[in-house]
Amino acid sequence: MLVTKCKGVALLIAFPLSTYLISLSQQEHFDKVMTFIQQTPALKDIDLFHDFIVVTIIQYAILLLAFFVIIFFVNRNIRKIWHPFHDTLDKLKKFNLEQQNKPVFIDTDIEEFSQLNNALSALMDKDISSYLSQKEFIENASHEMLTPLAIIKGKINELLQKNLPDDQAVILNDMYEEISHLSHLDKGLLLLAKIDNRQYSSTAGIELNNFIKRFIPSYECLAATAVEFNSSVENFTITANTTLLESLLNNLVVNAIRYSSENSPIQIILNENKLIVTNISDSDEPLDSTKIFNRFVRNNFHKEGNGLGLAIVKSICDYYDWNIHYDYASHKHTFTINFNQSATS
Amino acid sequence: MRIVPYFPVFRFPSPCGYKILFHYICLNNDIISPMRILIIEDEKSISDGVLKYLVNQNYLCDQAFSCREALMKSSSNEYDCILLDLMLPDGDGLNLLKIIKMNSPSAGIIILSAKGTVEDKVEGMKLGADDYLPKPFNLAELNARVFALLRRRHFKGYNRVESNNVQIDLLSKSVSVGGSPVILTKSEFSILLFLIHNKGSVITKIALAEHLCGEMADMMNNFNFVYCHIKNLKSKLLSAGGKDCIKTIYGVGYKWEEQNL
Repeated sequence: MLVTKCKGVALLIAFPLSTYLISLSQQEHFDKVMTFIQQTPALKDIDLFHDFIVVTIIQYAILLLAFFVIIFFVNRNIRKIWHPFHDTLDKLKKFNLEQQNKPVFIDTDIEEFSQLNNALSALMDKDISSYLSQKEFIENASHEMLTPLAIIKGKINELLQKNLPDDQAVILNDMYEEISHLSHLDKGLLLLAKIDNRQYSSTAGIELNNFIKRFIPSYECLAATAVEFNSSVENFTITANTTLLESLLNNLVVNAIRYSSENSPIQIILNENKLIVTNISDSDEPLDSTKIFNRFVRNNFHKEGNGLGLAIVKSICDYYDWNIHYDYASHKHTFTINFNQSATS
Repeated sequence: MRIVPYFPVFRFPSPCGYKILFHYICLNNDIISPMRILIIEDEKSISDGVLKYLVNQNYLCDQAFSCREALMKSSSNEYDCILLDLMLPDGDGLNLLKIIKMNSPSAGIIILSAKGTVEDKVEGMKLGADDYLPKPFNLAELNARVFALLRRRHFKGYNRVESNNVQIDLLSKSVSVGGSPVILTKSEFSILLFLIHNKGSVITKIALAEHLCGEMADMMNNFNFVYCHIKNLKSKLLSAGGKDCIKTIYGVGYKWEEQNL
């Protein structure tokens, strides 16, 4: 806009300015010619100055016209010239590393654009290959960790089958349990890494009522207390990845089960756009709400769990832009997940 | 453990059924004609562990440590069940699965994988695998899965398991001791079945917990809930007149001891 204004002002002052400059530089000759004309009786009526002005105006008008005509054609061409660039730009915006949908750029005669396209292609190839190798590394690392763990687990199990003295059996069993925790830890870290790498892009519409009900028997089997599920919405569907949602729910509820006191029920409540999990603990002490979602942060009194559960919950909530919130009121711990925009009921 | 057929035994529709019927009659008469299992796994110590455990359960097992070997063995022999690791040194397990499925469609396939990604699980199931067990798995769990798979695929009429005078009807999920019914909860039922499937082996509390609740069991740090279920199960079986067959191994777990009647 500013450029257009400047152009207009420049055009407006160009004519008087040029006239002034010409007359200034030619002043001496012009004066001589005028004097000569005035001294010649036959040419006395000619108003040279007037003619000069008119000619200049005509010239200027022609120039201006030519100028606009040229601008018009250039403008029309420029769109054609920039077309490959805009095409590239659009394709870049649509590029998604997770899906590895590498775009095919259109061929162009313009050297710079074709160079740009080549550079971008090379960059994307590199990105995709490093993304794939990273993904492969994560999978292989987990595989490499899990295989020795599986072997150790199998060996200990074999040893436990022998009729060992009690004290030795207990030691072996402790080792066995630690191995189980280690493999669970490995899986948890792998899950977090994969969420960070956005490797769970496939989604499905999930009806939450049925989804939660499916897990209630397992929760009840784990918990010494009842697990109650109340829903105030009939049909509540959210779009998410099934694995992630399952992991979110399991971690949240098992966490509640772990810290719950006996004989006080665990409640899972589904409201309009909200999932609430509450449990009642023995100790009257709130959790540090600034730290509970960090990795490897545990309650000082209960050194249970591997310290990843709530970190995974938080990570999944962040992934889907859901809001998770912790409340405490006299023994009662409440976790609320708000599925604001992403939900459709 | 004995698998007792339901009364009209000779209702098998296919020749395959007769083969299995024969097999089970033999088994009941203690002439062992076991089911054949192929273990495809590149890690030798895992493969050996599985082999040992399954051989103890009266299965006939073969091992294959690579894709090539697996293809050779699966095409020259007929297996009832194939345990397949997806990561093999000389090829992709999913491709192998496709080929095996084509060559021997009667074999049930259980995928054993450390990848543990859902995509693999879904892909494997789509290609015709019957079950999926993530590593590190417990051998008792694997044994229970193998049994469930063989029963599903081959013995549609055989839904009874019997041990120490305890009869389990797998179809109606009911249990009776010496003919008188016992009412068990779902958890108690699966614990009982799991112990009987793995009779004679020590089953750790973790293995039981994982069998009951899957991955969720890992998140718990104590397994007292297993103790509660076992306690209830024991008292129910005892009060129905059964023997105390569930032996507690101090600090470790439990064991189902089969006594000769």
